Amino acid sequence: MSQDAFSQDAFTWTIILISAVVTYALRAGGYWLMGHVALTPRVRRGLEALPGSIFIATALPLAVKAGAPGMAGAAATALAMWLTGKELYGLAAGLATAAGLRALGF
Amino acid sequence: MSAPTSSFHPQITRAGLFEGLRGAMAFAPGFIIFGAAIGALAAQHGLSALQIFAQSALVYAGASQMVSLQMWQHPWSWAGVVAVVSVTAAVNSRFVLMGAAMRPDLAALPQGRVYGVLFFLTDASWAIGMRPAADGGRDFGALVAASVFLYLFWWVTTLVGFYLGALISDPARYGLDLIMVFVFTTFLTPILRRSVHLLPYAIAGAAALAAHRLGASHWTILIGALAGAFSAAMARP
Repeated sequence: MSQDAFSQDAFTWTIILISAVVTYALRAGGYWLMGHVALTPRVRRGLEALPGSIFIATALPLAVKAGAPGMAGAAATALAMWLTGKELYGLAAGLATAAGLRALGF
Repeated sequence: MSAPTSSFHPQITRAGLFEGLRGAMAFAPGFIIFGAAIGALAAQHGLSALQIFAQSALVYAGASQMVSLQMWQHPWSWAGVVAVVSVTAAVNSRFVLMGAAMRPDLAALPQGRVYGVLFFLTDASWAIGMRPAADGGRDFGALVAASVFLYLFWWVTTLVGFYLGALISDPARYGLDLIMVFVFTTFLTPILRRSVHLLPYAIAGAAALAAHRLGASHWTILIGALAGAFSAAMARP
């Protein structure tokens, strides 16, 4: 299909709708699949380590790619979370550190 | 409060709903910043208010919304559509793993309800709903309350960001381009704090970094997550 036949708006709606269907399939798919596979202690241990593994696999490459503001900001977030247990303080520490380092030219 | 058990109570309790709402409120400030950043990005790329609302309401996955908006093209080609949808699938592939982890706890519930609430699955609602019994979690009500609250809250924050976005001309100056890193770090810290074995997380991080360096940037999440889970599964208990 040529580009003219499909407006920018139509492309936007197509992407939103396909993304919605794909995302729900992923949300429901893992749950559905586990109902058809036996859960051994090994599988259970693996699943228990998943959340932390997902979060670190998402955040670490992005932090490293961003350089000093990314890495120091993430460290500040983790430190504030560790000490206070409150997400708001963690985010504030991360944003302040990153903004501060960028203001200094990093 | 009932005694902690190894599985969810098969019904929704008032205490559970309250627990979920309380947990969701803790994430509210993070959602405000993250949602506002996405709304602002949508405005910059020429989406209409209805379109960003539809993305938030139907896709409802902040990380993938942010990544796909960063890849937004002018004008679109079909190759661009495939690229954006593929990246959306890669970023959201973590939901497969999260859903899988929920199976043991939700298997006793009416499955229609479970598949309904799975539509609202996010990192935050999952973290709240799947909290170990010691933290006061493990009640279907906590997952339901957190899911509904965060979902409605997401509509509001992304739309507010859409309208206010023009006011923030340079998000990087305030570190807002790194908000996803900080949000995920707040998720990660309590998990590391109570973990006995840290090695799987080190392996997950190292694998993701290696994949990123080798150019598999859109698949880093899946590769790192599977490396961490696999090493935890293989370790001696």
